[in-house]
Amino acid sequence: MKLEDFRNPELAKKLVGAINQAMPSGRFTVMEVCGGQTHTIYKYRLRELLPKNLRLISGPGCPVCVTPINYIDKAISLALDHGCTIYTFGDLMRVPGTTMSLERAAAEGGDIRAVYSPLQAMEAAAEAPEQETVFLGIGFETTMPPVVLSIVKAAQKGLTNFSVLLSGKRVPPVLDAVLQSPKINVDGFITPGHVTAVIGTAPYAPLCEKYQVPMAVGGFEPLDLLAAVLNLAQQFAAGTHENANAYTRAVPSIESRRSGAKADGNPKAQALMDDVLEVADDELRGLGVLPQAGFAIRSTYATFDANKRFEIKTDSHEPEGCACGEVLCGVIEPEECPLFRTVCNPDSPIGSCMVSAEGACNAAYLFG
Amino acid sequence: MEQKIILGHGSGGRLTQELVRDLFCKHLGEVGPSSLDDGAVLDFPEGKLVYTTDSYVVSPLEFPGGDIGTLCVAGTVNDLAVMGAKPLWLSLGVILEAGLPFRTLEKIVQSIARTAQKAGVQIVCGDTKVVEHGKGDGIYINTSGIGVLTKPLAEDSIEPGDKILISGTIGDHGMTLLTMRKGFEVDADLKSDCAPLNHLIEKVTSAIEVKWMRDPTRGGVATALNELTDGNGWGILLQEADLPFSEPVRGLEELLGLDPLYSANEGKVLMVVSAADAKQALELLGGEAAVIGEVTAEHAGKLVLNTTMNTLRTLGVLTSDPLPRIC
Repeated sequence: MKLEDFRNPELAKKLVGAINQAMPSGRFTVMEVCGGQTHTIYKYRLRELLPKNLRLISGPGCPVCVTPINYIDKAISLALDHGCTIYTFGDLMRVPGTTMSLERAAAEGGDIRAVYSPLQAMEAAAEAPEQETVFLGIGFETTMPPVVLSIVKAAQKGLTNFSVLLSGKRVPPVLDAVLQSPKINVDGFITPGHVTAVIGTAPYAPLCEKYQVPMAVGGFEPLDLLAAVLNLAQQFAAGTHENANAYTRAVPSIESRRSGAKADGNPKAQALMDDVLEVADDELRGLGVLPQAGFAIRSTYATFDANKRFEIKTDSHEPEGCACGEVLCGVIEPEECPLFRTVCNPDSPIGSCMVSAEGACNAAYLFG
Repeated sequence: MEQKIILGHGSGGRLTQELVRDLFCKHLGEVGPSSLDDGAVLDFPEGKLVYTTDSYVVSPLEFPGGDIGTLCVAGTVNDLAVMGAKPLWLSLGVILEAGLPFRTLEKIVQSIARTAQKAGVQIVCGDTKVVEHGKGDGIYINTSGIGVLTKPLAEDSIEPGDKILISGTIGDHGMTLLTMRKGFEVDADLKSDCAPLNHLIEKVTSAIEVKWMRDPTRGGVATALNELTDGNGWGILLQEADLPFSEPVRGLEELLGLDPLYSANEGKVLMVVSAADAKQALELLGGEAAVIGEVTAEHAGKLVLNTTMNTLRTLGVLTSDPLPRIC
């Protein structure tokens, strides 16, 4: 199938019709967890197509957005105070730290370079064995396999100058925190397709059960998202709280798992992650420190852990007035932040949600 | 040993003379300067003069579909052409980094000659400087261009109902340069559209009235059209379904989440013509040219996209540039 097929206006119309038909009365709030989904929803203005009693809110699934400010400060300190060469995904470059962004730190003389893959950073480290090289490993379960692979390969090559500053997050515990929060009331979740392709659908099942809330795995094209919404609308009507899969083209279906044909998620990636990483309590911007919400590098690989390799001193505090924390949990809409469009914009962002293409503020600014 | 640019080539002495004579003048041939005096003396035709300048710092220097030489001629020629001018003369200022292989420079100068010939313009004067190794990036080029105004645009006559045209697929140059970046291993069949547009534009402007033109380079189609609508009592509505994209550009869009409407073009022209002239303009432009939208009484001062989902979204100007040094 071609990409346009997932943007087909006729099929979209049919799906919207089906959603309207399926929706029961009453008001329902659905959270799309992933920032990539938020981007598509804003870009195609999908909210306008949905029934009035169904509200879509953006969730905490934008990796750049949930990265705590202290992490940026540490990365800058590694570059400027410790003389490390820093490799990062490009969208982290503009995120403001307490005093500056990585982009600014590069202008101050820091050796900071954007790459597309952690393996590039590892290879660069191999080419310059005298130079301490740090990769900024941020992301949810989707990004962890390549980060882990760079560590495994560095170990195989015997590199002594490569490390990762890890800020890896886990989606299910973060959703648990959202469901526990008294500030947010979510009736259903569109869960992130790419993360689920790695971890499978099983980790969400206990949450559906515990909070009696339906979930549907969603992709990133307009029709993927409408299909997920339709599934949730049907579940609202039926009063079920299943953990459904509306993104079978990337996440093998539950049926095929039952038949034993194909496993759910990616067991190879899971095994790789388990070898190098362990589950740990972790801080997310806006949500604070959450139990088991992140990953840490196992002590067997401690030499590749920038946090252990360097003594990094920072004095971090959040920018005044920035409401990123509330935006990324769906407590407020980007437009409700007093800084939105006034002093905070993609060219001079105050908070992380304005920087990343997956950030709700960025999407609302560009497509609002 | 491979011949390379050394600091002496910028001394102004014998080495500079040799470089100018044996490399620049040799390859520029008949499109090159007729004398090596301090300035060019030119016969200007009747009418108004249009004058423009542009600097080129593209990285890498060579890319599928062209190089910095093609770009530095096409870019300046196109700036003149979209003003409604017939491009005549270009200056050529180059800043070379010591260590640049002669071979690379020769290829670039050959591209300059070829593109100037294609566009029918003359390189009438030039300058060469050399900076230390590590202080430049191979070569930086500045070209200024002079043309004579032949078909002044009629921006004031734009009114609701007018059509927006583009001469071909959108975003090819920017997306091509993106895939050339170090470590970006995407094997996409992409090619920059870098080319002079003056003859194509002349074909259209000599037949019908073009109210407005722009070559949507940095910032892409969306930014260029935003500059047009800004402050006006009318708006522009684009139809997403009618936007021409090459398959690889579309594929990269999904892969990287980049919007080709904000990606640079170096061989495309946007035009506003009356509804009555649109069909003829389209035929004259030929190829993959398309009507992509129209001027509307609604959405005053704004550029709005009717998405394939049939929802309306405002397109703003490019904010943070995802890709510096594309031209």
